[in-house]
Amino acid sequence: MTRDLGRLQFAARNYTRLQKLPWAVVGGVMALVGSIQWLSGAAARNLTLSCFIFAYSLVYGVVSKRTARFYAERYGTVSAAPVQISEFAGLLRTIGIMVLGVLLIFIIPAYFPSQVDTLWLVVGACLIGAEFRRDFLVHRITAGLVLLGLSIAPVLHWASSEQLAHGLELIVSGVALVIVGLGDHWVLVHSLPSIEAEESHG
Amino acid sequence: MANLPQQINELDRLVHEPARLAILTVLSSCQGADFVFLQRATGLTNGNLSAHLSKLEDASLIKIKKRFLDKKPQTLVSLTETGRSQITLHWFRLEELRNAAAHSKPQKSSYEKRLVIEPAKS
Repeated sequence: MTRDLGRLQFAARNYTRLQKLPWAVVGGVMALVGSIQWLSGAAARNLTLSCFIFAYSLVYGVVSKRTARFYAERYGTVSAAPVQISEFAGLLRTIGIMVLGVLLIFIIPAYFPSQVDTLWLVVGACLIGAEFRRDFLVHRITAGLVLLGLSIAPVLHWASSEQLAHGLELIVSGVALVIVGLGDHWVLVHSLPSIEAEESHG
Repeated sequence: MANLPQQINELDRLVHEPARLAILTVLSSCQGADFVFLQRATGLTNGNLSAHLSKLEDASLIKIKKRFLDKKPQTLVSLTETGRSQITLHWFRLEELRNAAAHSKPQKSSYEKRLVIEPAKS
């Protein structure tokens, strides 16, 4: 039996948030499928961001229920402790959300070349923002930085044609999201000891 | 101030037992967990875990709630207020022990003192 109490505390504290396999992997796979559509010049590349979000919601709804059942049956259920934030931090978060809303609605669409870049900006910022905590996850911060980089500095648009740039962008972001989902699952599994029958008397 | 052996003796054996300490550590990091997660986290067998949980419940350190979820029985375990304060106190005592041990100097017994080899007189 593993008596690494620090690892047990980490597992219990982060168990709920490490079950985000569905949102990241579904988003990543859809981005990779989108890249194939885009690079092949298929008509599907004309689909708007709203179509992508609608399709994502449908697939995510189905996958997330099955995934939740898988984790509950295999690893159990944990009720996470409520996050304790100070009033000042709460005020900062509220202001941050309001500023983000203004940016998303009025300013960013005028600047970014495409709606997809806006999406990666939001996802990247959320990934990084959520890691301002004791148990930060390196793979999430790395993926967040990659997504932010894709949205803010569209190097691919300068270096290649529009079709290739969008396709490559979707590949890079798709891979980053899949890594987030699989990375979360890997961290969760390895923070829990393997099942060994051991008798403990006392 | 109590000496080291006395401080060690004052540790709560109910809490300090490794399996129960692991259970209480897991529960102190969340609002509650079910039997499956506790078993997975601690690596104990079903019977062993049940026995330890019974002891902790008898001492009012945890509360156990049984319910049915999707027609399957589920056992939910959470710390009581007493349990939370006990595990916090236990970690505090362990920290005090660690600090005391770090600052204490090893004392030679009278036997060890007699064993000191004196240099040969030329």
